[in-house]
Amino acid sequence: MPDNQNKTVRPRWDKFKRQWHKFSSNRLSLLGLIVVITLIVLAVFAGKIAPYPEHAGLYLDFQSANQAPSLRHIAGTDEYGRDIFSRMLFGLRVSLEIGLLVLAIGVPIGVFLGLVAGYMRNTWVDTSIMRFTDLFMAVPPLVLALVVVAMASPGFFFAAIGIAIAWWPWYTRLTYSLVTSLSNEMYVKYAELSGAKPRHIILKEILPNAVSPIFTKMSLDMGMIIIIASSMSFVGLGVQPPAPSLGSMVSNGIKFLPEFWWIPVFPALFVVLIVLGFNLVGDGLRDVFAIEEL
Amino acid sequence: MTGTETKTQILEVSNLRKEFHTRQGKLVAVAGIDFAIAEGEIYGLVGESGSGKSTVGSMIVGMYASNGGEILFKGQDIDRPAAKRSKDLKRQIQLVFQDPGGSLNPRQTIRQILSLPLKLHRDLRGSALEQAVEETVDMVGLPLSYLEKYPQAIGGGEKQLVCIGRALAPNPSFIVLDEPTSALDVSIQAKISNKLLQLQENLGLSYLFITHNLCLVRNLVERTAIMYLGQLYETAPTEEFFTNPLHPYTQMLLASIPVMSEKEEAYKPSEVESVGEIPSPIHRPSGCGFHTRCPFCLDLCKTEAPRMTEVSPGHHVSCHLHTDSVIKEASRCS
Amino acid sequence: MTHHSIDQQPLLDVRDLAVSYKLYEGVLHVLQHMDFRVESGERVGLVGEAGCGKTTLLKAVAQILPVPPAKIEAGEIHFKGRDVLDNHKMSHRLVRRDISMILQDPTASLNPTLTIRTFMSDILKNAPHPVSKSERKIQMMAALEKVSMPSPERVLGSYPVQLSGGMRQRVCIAMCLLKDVDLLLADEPTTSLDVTIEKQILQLLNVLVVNNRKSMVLVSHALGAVRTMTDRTYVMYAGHLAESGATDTVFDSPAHPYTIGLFEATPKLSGEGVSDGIAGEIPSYLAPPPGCRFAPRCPQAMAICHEKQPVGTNLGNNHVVFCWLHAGTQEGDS
Repeated sequence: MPDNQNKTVRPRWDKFKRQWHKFSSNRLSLLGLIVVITLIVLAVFAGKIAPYPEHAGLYLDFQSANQAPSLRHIAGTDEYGRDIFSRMLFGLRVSLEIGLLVLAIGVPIGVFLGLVAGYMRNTWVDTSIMRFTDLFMAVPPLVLALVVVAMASPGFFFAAIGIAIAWWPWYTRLTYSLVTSLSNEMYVKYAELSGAKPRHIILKEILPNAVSPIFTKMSLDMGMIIIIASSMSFVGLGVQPPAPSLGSMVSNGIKFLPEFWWIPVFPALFVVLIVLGFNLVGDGLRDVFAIEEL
Repeated sequence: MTGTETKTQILEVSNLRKEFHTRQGKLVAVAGIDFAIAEGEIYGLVGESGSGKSTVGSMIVGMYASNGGEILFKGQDIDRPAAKRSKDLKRQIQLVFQDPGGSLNPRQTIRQILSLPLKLHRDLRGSALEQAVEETVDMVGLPLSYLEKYPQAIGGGEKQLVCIGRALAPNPSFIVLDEPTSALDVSIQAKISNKLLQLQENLGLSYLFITHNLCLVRNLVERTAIMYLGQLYETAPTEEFFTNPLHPYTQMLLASIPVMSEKEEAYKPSEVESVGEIPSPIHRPSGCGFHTRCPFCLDLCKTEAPRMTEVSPGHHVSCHLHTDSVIKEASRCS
Repeated sequence: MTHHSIDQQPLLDVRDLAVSYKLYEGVLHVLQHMDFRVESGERVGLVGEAGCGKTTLLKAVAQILPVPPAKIEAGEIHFKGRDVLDNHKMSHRLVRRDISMILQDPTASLNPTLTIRTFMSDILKNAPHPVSKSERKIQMMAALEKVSMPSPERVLGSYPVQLSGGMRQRVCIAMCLLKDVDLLLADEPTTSLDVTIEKQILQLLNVLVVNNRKSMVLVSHALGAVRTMTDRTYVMYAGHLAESGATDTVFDSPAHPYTIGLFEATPKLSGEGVSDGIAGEIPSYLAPPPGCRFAPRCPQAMAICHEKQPVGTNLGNNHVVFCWLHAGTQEGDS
């Protein structure tokens, strides 16, 4: 495009506008984004939005137990008389928090190791890091997380740690392959030839070009992490009662099918919604960052 | 082995070899070549794919060391990777790549891209750095507003000007240009070529201009050398090279160029048919690498590699046809 | 040297074609008022720099434009007398059957997971008159031999990655032969090949086209190739026609300032030095200049050039130029 001298040059903003346009032109991605934003708002303001916030803790009211969905209880009540919708909102908050915590722990570790291994390709550093990574990948994530939690104690924090331990290797692999391919780019070679320090090359030349796939993966991972956290709660090794967790709500509620179907079904639908939302956003991100061709 | 005895040689290459190990076998990219570039000269290195010309350029700028032979820069041996070279040496030899799009980091602004060599090679910081960046942009003829742009926002020719600016920023004395205009349109090629000439004259630089485009070389460089399958077959002052090509490969190449006018047709050697394909550098033909396609192949060519001889002042050819008269009488091979 | 069939209509007749692309930034008005004609047995050249719309034109003819974002805004394309833009199944079939395209990068046209034998036999299996397996083998070998493919038997069993660039391009040409098309569209068929191989491929194309009385459109920014291989030439600039006429006429006496500038900017084998190129850049298709699209860069632009798009002027012998400089000199109707 020729230079328009009249416009002030704001390259970053222009780039963002164009990416937004590309993202939003895909209806599904937009839908996913709306879902995710709604869920985040619900989770953040759970305390204010939930009609019965106290039901998220210890609460017993057997008179109101097992009530079908009504105007007073949108999702009905469970066997302890607790409002399911309120518990869902807090459970949602827990799920999102776990997802964020896992990513906050796992991604920096994984990416750092991937950067180092990728930059020091074909040295003992590379081999040792990657084989170490392979070890962790040999075990299915859920199993590994369960083992960690079982060795420590069940609960929110160790569930997050467990999943993070299972999760970082995938980021190492991704980053490693990104770094390896980016190292062949001419501008990286130029920096090396000019004598730039490794720190500069990794942080300024390679990493900025690698963040897009990493972010896409993070979004797609959120759904998976939440499912694993829910599975852990399902088997009782995640968040402990009476704290609400979508997974345990489902597992406890299954025995009430089919009569009091709302007890497991609504929390399960919520999990589906979260995963779907993040997946759609992740797909949209992947399309935005894909190389444009005309 | 120089053609210009009166000037000092800024670069001298002797018996340079480079091999790569691939799964299919040993790939000989450069098979022992000699040439020299005088100070302030524009030297053109021409060849098709697989000729090894880019590998030569890569060794000179220090992407890797050779597997044999010598590279002397201002009399100093520089045959080692850039990481092992002195800071001053790294500053003096710069490189312009072929693909301007790929050689600029899409996540950096032009300012950031140009600041890097200035920081590394000239230790500039702060306002001195700012000023030097602006001078560089000005030197290549781009407006200052381009500094805040990303590479994707500017055209191919302008990207290449940024690359040239990047190469000039450290105040080098020698620039290797590897197909700097091949990815550009003809009208832009002309502008870039002009810029390169102007800068060379103003700053007294020496260029090694690597390309496959013979017409460009004809009009841009002072001396031309031709490579095929890792060997240097002929080198001469450009005018002489094009009006009196001696090596059969040179003749074949010149005869194959599609030209635009009858006037140019007259400059092409009488039809030397282009036959065959370039052999794989992994399974090189014995003796002279070109003998499989050479219409004048002698028995000797199959077994013995020719050596470079000076046929006339400044004009060197590596071909059995131009060495001994005895050989000329030998029988031809099929 | 054209093979005119006087009473027959042209094989390919494009009239007043306009193609645009819809992008985030807006609508790119690429092609406008394109007139393009190929007679039976004629070889037509299409010259222009990158981004001038020549590939868009070819793709529109071959019906492989990505619609959306592309859109045919106006105009007609008649092939063998039939309007191919009418969305009829018969038109599609006609185009698929009788037009074939060779692309610049042969690697991209060949599926790397299939052997050459699979490609070629697929074409034969889908031919109007399918033949037996042994007959197919004979035809495939014959096609490969016609393109001077070394060791055709081995090539049939190979995958595209095992062949060199030149050989891949020969495979593409052989596939066109098998298909027995009437019109061959060659989009920069030799740009990614070495000069010596380029000459062989161009000669091959020429022989095949002439011997089999096919028609060919050769798109290239290598002017020399167009000059030696075509009977008529069109020169395009920024989606518009600049000039058209018999190849010899256009090359010997170019009339449009762009054509003149382009020829002048091309480095010559006769060693005439580096030209200044053409100042400026190709205009943005988002907001193209209202008048002649070349006016902003034209050294001879007049006031009217910036206001109104020039109409075609026939300078005699069907040498048509779209330029206000020549508007007063027409010899009869434009």
